[in-house]
Amino acid sequence: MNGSPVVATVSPRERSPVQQSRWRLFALALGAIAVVVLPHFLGDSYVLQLVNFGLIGLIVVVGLNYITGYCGQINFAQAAFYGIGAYTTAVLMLKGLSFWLAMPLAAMATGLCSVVLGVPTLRLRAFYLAMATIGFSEIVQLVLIHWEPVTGGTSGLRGIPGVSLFGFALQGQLQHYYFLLAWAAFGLWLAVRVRSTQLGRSMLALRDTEIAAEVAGVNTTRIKSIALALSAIYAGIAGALYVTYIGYVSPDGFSTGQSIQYYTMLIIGGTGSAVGAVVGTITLTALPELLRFLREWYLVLYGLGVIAIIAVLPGGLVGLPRRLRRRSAPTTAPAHVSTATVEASPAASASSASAAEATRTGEMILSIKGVTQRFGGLIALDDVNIDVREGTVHAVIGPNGAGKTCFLNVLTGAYIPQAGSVKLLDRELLGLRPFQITHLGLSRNFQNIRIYPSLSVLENVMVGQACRSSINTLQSFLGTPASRREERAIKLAAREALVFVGLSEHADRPAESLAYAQRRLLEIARAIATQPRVLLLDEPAAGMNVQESTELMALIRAIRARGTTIVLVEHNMRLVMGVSDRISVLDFGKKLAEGSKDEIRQNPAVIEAYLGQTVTKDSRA
Amino acid sequence: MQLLQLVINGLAMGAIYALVALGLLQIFNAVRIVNFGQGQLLMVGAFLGLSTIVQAGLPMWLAYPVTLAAMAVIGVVFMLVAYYPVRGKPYYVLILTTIAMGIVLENLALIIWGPLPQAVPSPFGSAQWQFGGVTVSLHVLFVFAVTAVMLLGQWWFFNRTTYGRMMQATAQDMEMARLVGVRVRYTIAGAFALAAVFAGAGGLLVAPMFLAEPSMGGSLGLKAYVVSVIGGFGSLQGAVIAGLLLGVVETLAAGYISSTYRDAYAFIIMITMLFVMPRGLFGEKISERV
Repeated sequence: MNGSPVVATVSPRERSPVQQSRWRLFALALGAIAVVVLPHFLGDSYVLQLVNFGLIGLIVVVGLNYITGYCGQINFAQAAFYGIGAYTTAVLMLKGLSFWLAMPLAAMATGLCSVVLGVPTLRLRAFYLAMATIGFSEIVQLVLIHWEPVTGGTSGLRGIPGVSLFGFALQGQLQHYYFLLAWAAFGLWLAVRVRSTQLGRSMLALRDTEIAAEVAGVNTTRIKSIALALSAIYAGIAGALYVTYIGYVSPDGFSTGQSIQYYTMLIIGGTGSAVGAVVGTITLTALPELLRFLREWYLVLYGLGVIAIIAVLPGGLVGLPRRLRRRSAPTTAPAHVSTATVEASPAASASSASAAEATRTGEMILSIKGVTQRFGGLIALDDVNIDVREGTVHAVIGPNGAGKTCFLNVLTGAYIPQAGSVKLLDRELLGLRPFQITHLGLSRNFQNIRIYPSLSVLENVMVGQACRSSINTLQSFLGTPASRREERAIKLAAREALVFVGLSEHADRPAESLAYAQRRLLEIARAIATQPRVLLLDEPAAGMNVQESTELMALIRAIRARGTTIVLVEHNMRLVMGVSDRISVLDFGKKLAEGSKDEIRQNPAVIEAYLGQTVTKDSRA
Repeated sequence: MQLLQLVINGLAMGAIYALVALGLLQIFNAVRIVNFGQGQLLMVGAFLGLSTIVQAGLPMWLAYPVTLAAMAVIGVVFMLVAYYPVRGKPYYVLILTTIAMGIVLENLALIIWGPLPQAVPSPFGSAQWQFGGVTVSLHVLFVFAVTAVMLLGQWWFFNRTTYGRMMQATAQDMEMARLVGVRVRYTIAGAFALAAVFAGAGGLLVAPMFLAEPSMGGSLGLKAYVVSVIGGFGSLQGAVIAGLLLGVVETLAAGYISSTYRDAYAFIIMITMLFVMPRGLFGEKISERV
């Protein structure tokens, strides 16, 4: 794929962003009018009741979207949270509390449950949250059935008072409809809005690739906990609305099976956008009613239909129109633009100035002492000592399997070595989590590229600003003026980073449409956006052609000129010899040699182990 | 004496959990997905036992192999419908296809065999042994024996045969396995076929103890996941030991503490385990590659 001469072709069928947003606005307005007016014609009917239940279900599913849609975590306890909200409200209101007091308490109760459940399991691999939530859900179900003095057992609780709004008690299906609609609309609005905040971007980033989100400075465990709590709070509020709407509550409807039903609604509708939740909820609420004639075959076809949708529509039902449109349009892959544009970037012009300075001897900034990393019997790093001086480009080279990438993984907290110490100035880094290390001023790219494909190019870089954020989650979620100001600042800084690496004209494209070499540049821009003191580059030139790697060389010099120290792991000797101030050679996990370019070139051990081979390879190229 | 009887009953229950969990791990160790339809596969096995033994009147020595062969085919169909078309999708989407396939199987069984619980005989009839005050049915001993054979067989398969190693390679890196010449599609089909055979054997063994009914798969499948987590996901011996332990703890707790919350104990133990020892009794071998 890389280096292929495909030229950018924006298909004429694609609507421009402006047109698209105008269409969207029109559709939205039309939908809003329909939603407000249509129910008047339904009267106090069975259909309106179904719609009302659908609205409550929608709140539950939009809530689930935070943890599952945005974060990619499996929550099979959404119905249990819903049940806890319902029962808490019921018990409190039967004790005489008003809805407006009972509902927030119920939401708090479910949020608390989610924190207790999430904190220990969200650190682990995704599968464990699935298991923990199933277990929690089964326990909740049993408690609801058997804790009779409080929950009323299988027969449940009756006579729960309705909601009164400014002294007026809600009456009839229509009034309830507008009340529930307001809640659903508010919940949906928040969920759509969060997508364009630092919180939302962090969620999508960690869903796409968790380790790269950490390295960009996102505390993934915290973000996941927040998302789970938001899911649970939505469910809790939905539960409160449910019991006050129908006036009684029983353990039905809060089972694991029901949770899976909500989960299915979300996946079928489409993850990643809150609109998918709406589509999924409507579809799976209406479908059983419409397909009643299938009787016992309904669930068989339902199951097969779910699989079919997942197989055919990766984006869920919400992606169906786009998919149809794309099918009718020419199927050339979206734009692989040549990277020639990089030449014009300021990186290139800044480079010539700094290239002149030959050797640098700044203060010691990164000090690695006695690091030993074993995997079972294999010693990947054996008592490695390397000192990196500020403002230098320090290359770490060595044959394949010498432990170079392992070395970077130790520095950024992905591996915790058995022995040794890594100090950034005076701070010990070993034992810290990757995002903490990023906050202290160490950032990296990945040898096997890890960008966030669901975000735009600009948003990818904005995630890297996470660690420079001083706005708390609640502010970001609610969109306070301070958070909006910061959002603008983040965007500005991200654009600057894109200009610096020469990707600015692609800022608003989806990151997955970038060509290979551009993805590497994007990763570097994201790393720069964290404003690192030390930037670790893991084979940045891999897969680049001669021209691209020449441009990369200029970029690396420009980064150094900004005062950022660089640790460069690279195979491309032309690049290494072109930019490095100092070189360490690793072989079989041991440091073989260290010195200036010339010293390394003339070191017989290095020549034997490594350079000899590469020089011939290089002369061929 | 009552204690000993309870322990034996618990072990019998635990052996069943272990058996279902072994089928689950067969797929997990080959394609790294948790099959949430494993319990339903077991249910199908139980009903195929009903059809071959009771309805068709086949002798046991013929009915068992026929059922297991049919299960292998069903396993491949399962894979072709619920896994192969969606492979490579994110795990939080994949998990839903196996659940959906479980729903399909359960409702097909409802249509074919009806909702009522039905008895399936054991090859050992209702033969029992008495030791003092303790009763052990021959069937339960049979269950122990089958579980032990399956554990050893599966261990041998994964660690000592080329095909088993190919499956492990596929699980770790599908593309790389393909590059070194593993025929990935057949390997995965084989894993699903074997898992379905395990489930079928489980069904044949469970049906004489609890009757066959379409909804039996859900709760047994759930217990198998619990057992796998407690044992350390991916670990065969962990699953068996955790299965036996859970069976005993559940039975004792139901006998001495409260039977109302009988089904909650498993989940309480699992959640506690996730809190204090998330990698389970026998740890988890896999970690994310960077």
